[in-house]
Amino acid sequence: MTQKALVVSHLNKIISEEIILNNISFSVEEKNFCSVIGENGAGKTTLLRMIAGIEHSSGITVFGKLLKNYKPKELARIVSLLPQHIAKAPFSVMEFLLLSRYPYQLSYSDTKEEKNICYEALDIVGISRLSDKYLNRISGGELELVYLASCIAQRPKLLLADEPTTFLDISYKKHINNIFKTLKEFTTVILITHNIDLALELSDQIIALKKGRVIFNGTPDEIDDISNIFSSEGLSINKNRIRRFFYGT
Amino acid sequence: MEHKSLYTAAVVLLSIIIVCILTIVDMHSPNSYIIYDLRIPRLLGAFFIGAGLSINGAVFQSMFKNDLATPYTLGTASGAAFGVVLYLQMGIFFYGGGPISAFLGAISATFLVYIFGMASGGSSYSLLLSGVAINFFFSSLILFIQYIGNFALSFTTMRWMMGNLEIVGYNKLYLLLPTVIITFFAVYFLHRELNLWSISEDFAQSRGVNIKRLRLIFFVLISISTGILVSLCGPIGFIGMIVPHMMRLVIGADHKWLLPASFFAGGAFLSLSDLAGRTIIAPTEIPIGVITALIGGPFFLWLLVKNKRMR
Repeated sequence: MTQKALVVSHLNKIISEEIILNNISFSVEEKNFCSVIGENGAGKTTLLRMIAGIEHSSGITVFGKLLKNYKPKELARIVSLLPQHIAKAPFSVMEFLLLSRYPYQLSYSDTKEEKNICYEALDIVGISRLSDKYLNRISGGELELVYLASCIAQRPKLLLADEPTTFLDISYKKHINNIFKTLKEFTTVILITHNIDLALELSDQIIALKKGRVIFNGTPDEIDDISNIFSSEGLSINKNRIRRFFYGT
Repeated sequence: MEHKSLYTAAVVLLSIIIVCILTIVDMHSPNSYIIYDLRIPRLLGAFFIGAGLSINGAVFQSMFKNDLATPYTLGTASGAAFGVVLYLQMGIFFYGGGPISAFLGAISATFLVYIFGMASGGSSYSLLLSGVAINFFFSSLILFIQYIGNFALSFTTMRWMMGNLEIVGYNKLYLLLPTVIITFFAVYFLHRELNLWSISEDFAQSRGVNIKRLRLIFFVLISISTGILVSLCGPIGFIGMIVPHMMRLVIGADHKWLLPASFFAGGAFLSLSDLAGRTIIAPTEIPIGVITALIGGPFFLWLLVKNKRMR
């Protein structure tokens, strides 16, 4: 019997009197690939940040233990987050990856063993050639791969990724998607994506959020109508109004 | 590692200079008083005050991810100065009153900056803006107290506000040296956390850094250190901004090297500024705060222009 990697139970989040997450409950089995889909503003990123322990939460259990009972370093040895907005930093790629080994280090360590782990992580995503380059000197696609490698260097049992391919060209998108295809055999992955085809292809489980609520939780085969998840409510275009705006008639 | 050899060379050079001074000066000559009781304490004072201000600046810059964020620009130094001015004007003197009132002023200012900064969005920019506002607020309070206070004391206070390195004997050093050295080692002990934090707060948290605890530690530590430094030498500005920034350009962003580099460079910078202040129009002495502001002002503007994208 497989263990539950994640159990979310009656999770709520209110920011400035606005309900972001409303009574969310679901669970993810270990080594499952779970995609979270939904409109912009549905609460996907907030959910991921709460699972990563960045935002305060109650009602989240990770590998059988309540999230709030984890120490930060202990949690970082289990959960890793690939954030949506990645920052360039004045560190070399290797220095950056060594920083991601922080949860495992008792003192500052750039020992051969630690470096080898980081090289392996870079090798997995295919960018070991960049190890000496500085983060502010590499392209956006390469930077995304470095962040993914830094997550892998944490050796997480639960990898959280927030729209990792949104700003990338088609070749990097394909490469990162292939990496996730491979990773799903070794770790539990929760991926936020707007790429429905990718979600249907990779996922063992899909969770759809709408206005802070779970409106679908099941396997890709069980999704029958995607239009319920992505409605264009309030986003209509009035051609006559545009004409009046430009030509005044 | 080339940084290591650089630091070894610096330490060896420093040791040779100290040994030379100690051996060539005749302890019984009339000049020994000038060397041992005036020059060496003042040099040590300037060095460690510069080193301390520089370390405090380096920490705030990394915490706020902003080169303009220092205890001086964020109002911590003004808060400390307000504490000292209030203490002086009240006329109730007690042992340790200066440093204690400076610390209380510094921690109040830092706390207010944090509260208002977080309430207005929590970004480094909003924290910096609230810091500037708090800085003005405490500066105005200082002026108000001086206006309504004792005239003779106001003159003393005004002179102290310009920065003061008039250290005679070793009394001030007994408080200064432990403060700066303890702050340095405490911060250095947390250099990996600072590295992670300097990338982004979310990144540091997702890698296992307890940001809440770390923020509290740094706020209290830097407020204590700034409070003590301000109570000893007045609010000397700009060192905490210039030196760590320059060291970032020279050494890089890794706090393992940046912190010691800022420590030594800050010490050297203030020692040389003090030398310039004492000798440019000797025998009249230019207050140290005036010298550092004359260098720091244009540098601050250059940083503002260079970092316009930040706004």
